[in-house]
Amino acid sequence: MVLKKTRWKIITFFLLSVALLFIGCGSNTTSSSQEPQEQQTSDDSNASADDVIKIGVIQPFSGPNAKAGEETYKGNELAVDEINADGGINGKKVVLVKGDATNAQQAISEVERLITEEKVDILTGTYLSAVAYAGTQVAFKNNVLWWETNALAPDITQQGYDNVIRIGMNDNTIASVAINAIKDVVAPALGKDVSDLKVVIVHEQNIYGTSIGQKEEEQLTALGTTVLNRIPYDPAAADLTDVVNKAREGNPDILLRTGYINDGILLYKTMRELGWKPSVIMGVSDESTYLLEGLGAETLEGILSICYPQYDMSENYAPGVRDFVQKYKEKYNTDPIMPQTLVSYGGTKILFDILKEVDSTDVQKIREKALQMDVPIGGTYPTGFGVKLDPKTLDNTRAYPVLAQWQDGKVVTIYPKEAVEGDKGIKLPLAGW
Amino acid sequence: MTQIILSGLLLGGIYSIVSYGLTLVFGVIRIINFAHGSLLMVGMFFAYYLTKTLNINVYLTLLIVVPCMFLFGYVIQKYLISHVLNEPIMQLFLTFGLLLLLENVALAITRGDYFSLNLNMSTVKIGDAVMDWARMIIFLASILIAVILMVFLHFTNIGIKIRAVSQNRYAAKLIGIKLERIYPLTFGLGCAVLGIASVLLVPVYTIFPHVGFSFVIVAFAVVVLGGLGSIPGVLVGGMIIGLLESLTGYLLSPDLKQLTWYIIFIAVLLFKPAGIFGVVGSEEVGLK
Repeated sequence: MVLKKTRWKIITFFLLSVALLFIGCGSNTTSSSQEPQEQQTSDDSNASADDVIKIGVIQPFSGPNAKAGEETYKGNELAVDEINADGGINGKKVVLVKGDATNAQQAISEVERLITEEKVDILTGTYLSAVAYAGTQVAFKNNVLWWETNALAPDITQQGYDNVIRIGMNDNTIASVAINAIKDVVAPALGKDVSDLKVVIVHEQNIYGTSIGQKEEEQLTALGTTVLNRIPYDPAAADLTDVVNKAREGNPDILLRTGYINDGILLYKTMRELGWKPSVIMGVSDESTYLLEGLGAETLEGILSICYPQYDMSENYAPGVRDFVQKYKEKYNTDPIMPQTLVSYGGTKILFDILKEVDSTDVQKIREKALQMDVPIGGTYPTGFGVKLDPKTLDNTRAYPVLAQWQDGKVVTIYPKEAVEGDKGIKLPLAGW
Repeated sequence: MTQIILSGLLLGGIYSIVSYGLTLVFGVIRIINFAHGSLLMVGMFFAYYLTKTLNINVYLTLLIVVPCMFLFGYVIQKYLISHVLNEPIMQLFLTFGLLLLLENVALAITRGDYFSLNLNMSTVKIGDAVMDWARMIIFLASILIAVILMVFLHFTNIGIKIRAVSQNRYAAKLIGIKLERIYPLTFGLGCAVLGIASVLLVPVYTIFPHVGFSFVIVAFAVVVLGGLGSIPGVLVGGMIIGLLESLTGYLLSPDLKQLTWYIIFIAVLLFKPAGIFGVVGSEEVGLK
């Protein structure tokens, strides 16, 4: 009996250890990926703290979004390689320090660690909005700049913090591009006036989907377009038949969707099974290759996606985008797989432009300089983003996504027209499933 | 409305098929198996992997997945759970640990990627309503499994022993039933049925390490509503919850549908804790 108990204890211990090992695999990933960064630091081992600018990058380097976190980080890394090869920022080298956070609790402890132990000058990120939201609170208490390049949730910049600048896209710019695209390219392609269009909005029920869905509804109503229904749904639901049945009521011309990947696949599969396909389907971030695997090119053909700037944008609109792809290939031996990498790269380049001018990491100086910036959309940065901050929220009002369409199994940028390479254009209405 | 009701019934089939394994384990061994959803995920990944690597029809993978899941369940019970049979708190820790282990191993292997099969199966029209074959197969399988399990539990030697253990484990032991043999068999059987569910769900859902989460809470609700350890209870409970979800989602709002069955779940626990088909008193931990 005693032996049995001992054996059991050993097994339990082993089981828990293995579980902990895998839970902690994120930190292993982080430390292994920190090797180049440590090398960077050792290159500058003779340099004093005043000769480097330390930027903390908060991303989910472990857990279900580890891949996305790592890919987003690569954008920072490439921007840093570039600036350091160019002599740094006014002679100061830039060093990145990783912070692994998959949820709000980890974000708080990692941001604290980066500020107090690593003594970072600036923080940046993030693939996950929930991580950014929690992280900004700690950054605010410590008066460290939070330079947000990727997270989309509106509440990140609605906390009244003057140290949080979002240079990337937000719910406002996403909804604006969706509605502008409907007005400029979708309605003409359907041969209808915007006031004759009927739209249904379907979105996941949390703040991300709701804020975009509400803004789309407001802007469409202002245009005189009929919004038949706005339907929130649980992205973890096992069935979305009710959503589809509700959405098809009134026979809308356009379905607008904001959600995630797995619920997107389920929604479109359900629509396909029920045999309902409106003339236009426009989703947010529906350009994911996971959708291609789950639904196939035939089903996706013609579906529109409001998305992060894509790699096929014209060089005039997004100068440096081809060069970025080349550098990515050289460093990582593969093509870039996510647009988020380009967005963090572009956002980091804007930060470096400001740092060069202010020659300081002081939050107030950076904020003032950022507020003064007035860069038009297209023609300056590899994302095509312009820069004009909203003085209230410090959101970049010119960080516009693009509209892309699935054509023959590929994602093709089709709007704004300045971003379109060659003679690519929108193809509507959608054929049946 | 026909479409809503049919969709609700098909959803009920999905809920039932993932709940049979839980009711067997919950009803007989009295283990609250937190890892039920993770075991479903393992089965789904396994079926997907076999389909892709062997390049075969996903339904053929039943022949491999089901016996493997039986063995997996048998081993989990025999070498892990059997050590904590009389320690309910440790059982929770153990199955929760198993959940963490399985999900994190899946995360480490897949790096959080999503996997799905694009089968695009044909549909059947009944009046205005449309049903797709993938869900119809699940629905029919859920009825067939209920019948087979009922026959097995009532008319086979092992089945009768399993029922005896579920009713009174001490009396069963007194009349010579070997609990140490029945428990692993039951857990293995539960996992094998879950293996069937895993394979049949692959054409419908996207697979990722947390996919089981969408099903595990509802599976507990189905089991409690139908009655612990009751096979017809799972079938009926699944249908009720499926229909409720479908009707609430359509008539009220899709974001309220889960709230409805959470309320039913709590109401059943308060007013009819044995569930629809459960034996009164069976909700108490281990009848005797």
